[in-house]
Amino acid sequence: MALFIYGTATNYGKNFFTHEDRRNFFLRGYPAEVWVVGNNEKGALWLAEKNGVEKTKAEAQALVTAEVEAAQAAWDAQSEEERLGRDRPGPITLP
Amino acid sequence: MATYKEIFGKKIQSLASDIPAAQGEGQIWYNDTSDAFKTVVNSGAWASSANQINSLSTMGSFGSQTSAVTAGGTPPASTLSEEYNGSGWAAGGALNTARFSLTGAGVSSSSGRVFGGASAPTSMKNENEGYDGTSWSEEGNLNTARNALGGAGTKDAALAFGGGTGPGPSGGADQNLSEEWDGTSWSEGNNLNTARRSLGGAGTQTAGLAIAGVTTTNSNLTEEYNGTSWTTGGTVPTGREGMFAWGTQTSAAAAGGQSPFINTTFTYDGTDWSTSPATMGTARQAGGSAGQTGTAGLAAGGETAAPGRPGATEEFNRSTSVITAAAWAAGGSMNTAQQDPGGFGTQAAGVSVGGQEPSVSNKTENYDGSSWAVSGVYPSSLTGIGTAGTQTAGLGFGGRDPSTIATAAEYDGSSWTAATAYPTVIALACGVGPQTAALAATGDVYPASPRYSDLCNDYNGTSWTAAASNTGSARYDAMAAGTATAAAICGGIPGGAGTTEEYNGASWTVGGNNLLNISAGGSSKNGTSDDWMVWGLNAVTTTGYDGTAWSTRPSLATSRYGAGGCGTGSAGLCFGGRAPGFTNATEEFTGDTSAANIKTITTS
Repeated sequence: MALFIYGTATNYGKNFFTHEDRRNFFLRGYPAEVWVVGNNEKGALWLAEKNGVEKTKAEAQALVTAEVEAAQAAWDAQSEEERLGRDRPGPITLP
Repeated sequence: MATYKEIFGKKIQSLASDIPAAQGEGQIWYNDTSDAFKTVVNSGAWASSANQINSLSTMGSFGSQTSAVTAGGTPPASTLSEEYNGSGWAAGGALNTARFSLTGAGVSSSSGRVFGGASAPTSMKNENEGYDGTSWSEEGNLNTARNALGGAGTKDAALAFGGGTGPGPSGGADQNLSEEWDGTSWSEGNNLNTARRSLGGAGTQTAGLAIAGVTTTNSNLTEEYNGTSWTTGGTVPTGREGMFAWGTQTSAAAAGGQSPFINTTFTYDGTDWSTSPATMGTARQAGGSAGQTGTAGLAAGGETAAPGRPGATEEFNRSTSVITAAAWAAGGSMNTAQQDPGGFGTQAAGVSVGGQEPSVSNKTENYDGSSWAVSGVYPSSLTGIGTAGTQTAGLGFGGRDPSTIATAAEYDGSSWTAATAYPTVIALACGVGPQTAALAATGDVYPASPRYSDLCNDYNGTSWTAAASNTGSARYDAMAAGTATAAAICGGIPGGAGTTEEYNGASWTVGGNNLLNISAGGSSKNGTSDDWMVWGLNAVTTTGYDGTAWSTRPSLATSRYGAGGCGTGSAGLCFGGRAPGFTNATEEFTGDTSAANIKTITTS
């Protein structure tokens, strides 16, 4: 059985995930509203309740990579002064 | 039918509110507010805690639920050790001999030992190392090198039993050997009645327990040691190998194990095992466990069926109180996504000011514990504003537009008014304390070179004066908390050093190093210098400081760079940042809570 479920869901703010959710299952948010959820009953139920769209790991990774590349391009387009000493966004690999 | 008074000699009290757990155990009362008979129930429950720093299995372990150590583990063999303080994990000293499938004995993170194990599937180890809370020392070896053995007792009176001398991380060539450590050397004791490996251990050298394990099949045996010989004890309802075990001979518990993997918990009263209604959140085996009584245990790391090593930590408690573990949860989203917003106030009354979106911003938002509301604009559009104070009496100073500036302003909860400018241009500085007694420390003084500064200044509500002392290390983009007379600062650039300094209003002294080299993070800056947290720099890791040392806390859901922060060590607020695009997401941290386990008595 896979360790994680991958999906997209829009973070609407307060109570999108609760303290109880965090205690019940693994949860990580990534760019492009990608969420990696522990593969148990409560994790799967959470994604469904948030109107999430389940993705394969490859699909989710592609969404994340696209957003990272967009952020990198935006950073590259800035002048040195506009970067204000901030680092260029780095790659993100889903677990 | 006999009445309650006839049986117990007194009537049931009628009360307007429930009795606290400490007084209510064993009592029945009538709550005339909720019209219900109530009692306090003693029950078991698992609660998650902060993950370990490293995700390992087959570690040796010892200690209590609030003071424990795991060491070594996981092929390839490791020398890593970690210390748990009841809230989170901190790195411990390195073992002298790397190994896995070892075991341990001891009562706290400053008094214990690990012994046995394997450095490779065919290389059994008999090394024995004692730990004093700082470093490991090589001491007398076991007489028989073996792995997957059981351990019990204390640092100076330990017991080693069972195990395997064959190849593989799970042992093989099962052993029934039993050895006693007297503080100087190991001596052979009487053997277990049944040879087995991957068994659990609990109790002391003179009142020990060998729990379950595996031979060719899972074992459900319990054997009790009296300092001389082993005798058969109660039968474990579902025996497994690699169970997490802790406690004493008369109050023990065992949980998890394989195969198949289970998350069941069993408790032992010295005679019989019972199945607890409490189940582990993560079914796993071969992790670290600790606990000096069966009512308060700790399970850390281990392997899951997936397979994987989640590094998860869970605490088991059997008491009249229900403990709810700390966690981050989603808060209301900011109206505008910002990187490097200034933050101050509390979780229920927080403020975000300025930042990048990506142009520099003059926006201010107030948080009420649920949602952000747009408030009065800052006098100029800036990012990296230094901040201090509360939602109704705040302070902003310095910042960048992108030129570094020195202006300052005071906030009253709805609007900003100009204040005396900071003595120098500064950005990404730390600020702590109330508006009328604030301390500003360090910062980015670009275009000066080097950019990082050690400057510290006090603000009294009217003017700035040089603080009694500057920080020992110049830095910017650091994190701080406390007041002008009791502050702590951590991390920052250059180097993102985890160095912590503590200030008493007169001088800065070096504190405990953070677990991470961290900068561009957020902090619960309105906490005290001995109870605050930091997070960020493209990681979900949260660490907390207790005035002496840093340890892990439950992780954020989303990693960020340049997030804002405020709140305290038990009620933190993280908002904004870049992830890697500008984000308006907010997360709220709530620390452990404890409440009486009061139940309503019903007839069904």
